[in-house]
Amino acid sequence: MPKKSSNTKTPEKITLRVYPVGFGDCFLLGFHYAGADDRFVLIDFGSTELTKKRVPRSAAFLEYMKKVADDIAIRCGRKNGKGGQLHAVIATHRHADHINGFATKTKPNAADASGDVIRSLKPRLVVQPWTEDPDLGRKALGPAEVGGPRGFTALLVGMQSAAAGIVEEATRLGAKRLVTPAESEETKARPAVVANRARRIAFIEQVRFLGEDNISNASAVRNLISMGRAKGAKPLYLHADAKADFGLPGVKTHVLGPPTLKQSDELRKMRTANDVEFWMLLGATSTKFTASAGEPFRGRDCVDGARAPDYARWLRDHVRSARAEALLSIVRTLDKQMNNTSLILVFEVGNAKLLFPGDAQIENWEYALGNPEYRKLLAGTTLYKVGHHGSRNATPRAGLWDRFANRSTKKNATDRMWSIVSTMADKHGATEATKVPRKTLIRALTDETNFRTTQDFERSEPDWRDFEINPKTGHVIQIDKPKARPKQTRKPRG
Amino acid sequence: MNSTRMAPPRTRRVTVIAQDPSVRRGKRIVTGEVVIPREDLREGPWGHRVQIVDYDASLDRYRRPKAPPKKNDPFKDKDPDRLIADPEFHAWNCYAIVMSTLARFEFALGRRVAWSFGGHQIKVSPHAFADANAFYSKQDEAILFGYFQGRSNTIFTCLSHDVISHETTHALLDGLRERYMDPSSPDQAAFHEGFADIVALLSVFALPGVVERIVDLGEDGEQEKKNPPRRIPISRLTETRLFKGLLALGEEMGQEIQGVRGAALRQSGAIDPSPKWYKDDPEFEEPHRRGEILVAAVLHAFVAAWRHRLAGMGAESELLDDGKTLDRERVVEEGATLAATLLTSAIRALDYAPTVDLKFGDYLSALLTGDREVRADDKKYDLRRRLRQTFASYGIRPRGDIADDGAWPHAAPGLHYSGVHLASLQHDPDEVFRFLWDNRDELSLDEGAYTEVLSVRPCTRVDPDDGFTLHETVAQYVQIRRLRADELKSVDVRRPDDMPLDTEVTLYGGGALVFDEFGHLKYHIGKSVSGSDQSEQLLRRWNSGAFEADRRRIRRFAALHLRRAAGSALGKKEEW
Repeated sequence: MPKKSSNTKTPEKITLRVYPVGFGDCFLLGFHYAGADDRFVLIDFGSTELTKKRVPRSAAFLEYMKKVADDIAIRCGRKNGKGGQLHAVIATHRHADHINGFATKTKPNAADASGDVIRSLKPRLVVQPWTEDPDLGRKALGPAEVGGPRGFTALLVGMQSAAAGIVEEATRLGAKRLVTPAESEETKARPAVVANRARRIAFIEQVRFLGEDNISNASAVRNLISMGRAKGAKPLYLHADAKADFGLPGVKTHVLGPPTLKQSDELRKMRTANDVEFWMLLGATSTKFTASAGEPFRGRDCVDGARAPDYARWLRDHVRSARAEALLSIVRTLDKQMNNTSLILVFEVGNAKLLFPGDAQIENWEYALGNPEYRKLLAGTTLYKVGHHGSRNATPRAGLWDRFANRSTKKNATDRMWSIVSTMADKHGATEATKVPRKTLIRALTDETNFRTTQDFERSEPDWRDFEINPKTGHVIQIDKPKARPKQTRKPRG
Repeated sequence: MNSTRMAPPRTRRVTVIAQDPSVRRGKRIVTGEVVIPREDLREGPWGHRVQIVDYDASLDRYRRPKAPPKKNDPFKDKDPDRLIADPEFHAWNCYAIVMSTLARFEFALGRRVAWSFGGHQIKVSPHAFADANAFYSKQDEAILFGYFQGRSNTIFTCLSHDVISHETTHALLDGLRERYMDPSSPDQAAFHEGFADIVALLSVFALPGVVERIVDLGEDGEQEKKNPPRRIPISRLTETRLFKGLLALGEEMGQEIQGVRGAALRQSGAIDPSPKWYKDDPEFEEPHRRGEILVAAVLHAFVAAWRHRLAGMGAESELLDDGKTLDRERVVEEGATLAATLLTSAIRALDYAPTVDLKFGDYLSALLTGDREVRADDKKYDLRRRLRQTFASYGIRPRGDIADDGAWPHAAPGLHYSGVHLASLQHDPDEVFRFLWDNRDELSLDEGAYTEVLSVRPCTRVDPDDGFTLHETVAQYVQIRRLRADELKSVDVRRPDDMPLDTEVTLYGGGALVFDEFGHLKYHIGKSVSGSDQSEQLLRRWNSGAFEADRRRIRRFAALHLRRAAGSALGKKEEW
């Protein structure tokens, strides 16, 4: 039996710091107990684009992420570059926009990268979905269920190498090289065809963006594994219904997703033998044929496409745009499958119910929404981290949204639910319907919740926002930022 | 051209890979001959209906073609294992199989058949991208074949006969029945895929090399023997064994493509005859799977009719040495001939099929009607009875005259012809419309609907058994009503409960008309634009999310193939 004191111990205050990371997620949740006992949980740390110029791997990007990491460190108690501890790191799924902040420095004597800073905060727990377990036994999954002895890990590897190949191919198909003839006869005679092609050229950029997100971020993945294996730390690989001990007294942590293959018919369907085979083949195909050495019939009367004769050029333009469209649809499918490995977590303290669903899409949600207990729990949500950067299919409308009991059109209602989205416009989705964030969803969030979006935060510097959650009532307030940028102005608690 | 020379034959037989490089006899890839029109080719090959352009988008490479082959059958007697490494052959294989598929449509329908995109020449890229996919794209006026890394070597989809035939069929079917791409019943969504598989498989079975493989595989272990016996005991040629051979061939076919595309033969062959799949198995609501039921019914009919023919030959004593064995070559030849005959009827059925809202039972009646019109004497194969039986075993009943033979009933007498001109009726849509208008009551047309005659085509059909010809004119029309949901009652259509009253709804009706050589209507295969059938269809469209504004029709085949491979669950009501 646990000691009585720890049984009754409950947070006096909950805080949430939201970092603007462009198209990505980074949330620092704090549980503050009596006696200056602060336990911080970092939920995701990654971005696929901060600003037009600050894209992953650029120096400016790395510098920005490092600043975010440094701020996290200070928040976790680091003083004069020393000390500080993270209670837990949660990586909801392995997409770059959720984990690339965990990447470490590439050379031993280089300056620390953001991932090194997080690592130095010695998280006691590293929480990831079950699909990331490096020891995932083949038998534990049941090979028959996941398509042969290669199991789930093979699927992820196949998908990620397919993504790498797709990005390379999209770069070669490149938007710049796919020019629409501005004043050709075709433009006049067949405006619809030209418009269509222009639209598909726009796809190429989408393909690259989505593809990048799905490429394996080896450094971040390794860091997450090794932080979990570090002394005094523990990795948790969770699935829906898992009874996980997060070491947060007074906080009930519910794991609603991702379901295991046994739990979910839909997911199981998506992971049939055919599926593994499909991504494996695609991965192998991209790897082999994107390298010029892999060309079939090399050198045999082959010329660069631009040198094709006039009568073949019409088709060249068409095949290229058809290919762009096909790549987009492949990469979307891939993206979705990866999103559906997302953890869906609810932190429950008193009346406060904080919902963090990562990027889970409908197929992942289906399991939780089929359980009446979870439906009841979700209905009471007081703060919602909007799923998948506000995309159209990550906030189930009938199953989740319609059931949120604390929605209200009255702006001043005390119990009104809060929602926070971390996103960036014009990066994701080529049509109005697929754009992220989705307009209709944002409108509903604005009308019926106290809504905040990182799009309103400055991104020149890590311009975080703080929120405070009352653990008894679940009420949320936003903390005004001090005017001058604080160095170390926070009062010690307790 | 030298005018004193004798006219060259109109067709030629050329060598192609019979199915794909996985199908071998001994160690040798099975090849076969297909019949294509003789024409003066440009380099490519580039003929009057097909232009091969070897452009690869994944690498942005264009391969310059060589001069067109001079020989009548340029790849005859070449080592097939070397052919699969020869891009010239790849181009030729595509050209020949696309042309032979087109030729089969034109023969069956007795007229020229246009590509669905409207142009005369379809473009074909044998190596269009590095991807395990191949598809017909209307907007690109092309069939694009991918290549990919298989388990051990590079796989070229342009070397698979069934894949080429399948995609060519999409390009033709969409032109013949343009409304079959509309969201309607699960049957209609499934028909494009099922029909394309039927054409693909029967085209492959029409090659003796493949049929021989079926016979070999049906006989346990016999396939390994170098010299199989020249005669086969008739007692061994049972339906069960022949079907077993078919399934075993399915295992061989497209081995390397498994997991990427549904292996049509393997998948369909594995569906045991039972009405449950068609009636109420949710798995078979998915278009590809549902199409496989149609394919399965045709496959069983093929084997049953083949067996019937072989048994009949057994009874004709002069074909037998001892009354107990049949000549192996004859067994094979009969199978191939039957496949060609059944294929012709399967394609011909399109002219007797409704223009909108096709159900499998409609197709069965169309098949029975078209076959009866041309092949009146069915003693040889007893094909129509077999078709009725095997379709019934899968729960598919003809929608025509069930009391009679399942074919469509003849058009009722008493139609008005006084206003129409016979000669124009054979080609002029306005003339056919006049006929429709004059007979709108007799034909139960909806007077308030927008009505358009889509096509009028005279055709000459040939009985494959005796060469007897039949002249017909086929026409199709559509009827369209655009209504608000609150007006649906006025046309006896039920509004789905949760459909808002101001939703714009479009209802489609229409029909196929078959006139005899004297301009009299023989058949009217119509679907009403109103009534209970429409209620059911509307509810299904509504529930499937077909009313979504951004639903795109372009490249549906490409998308379907991917969805099948990668799985997908759409919860439309959950989206924003």
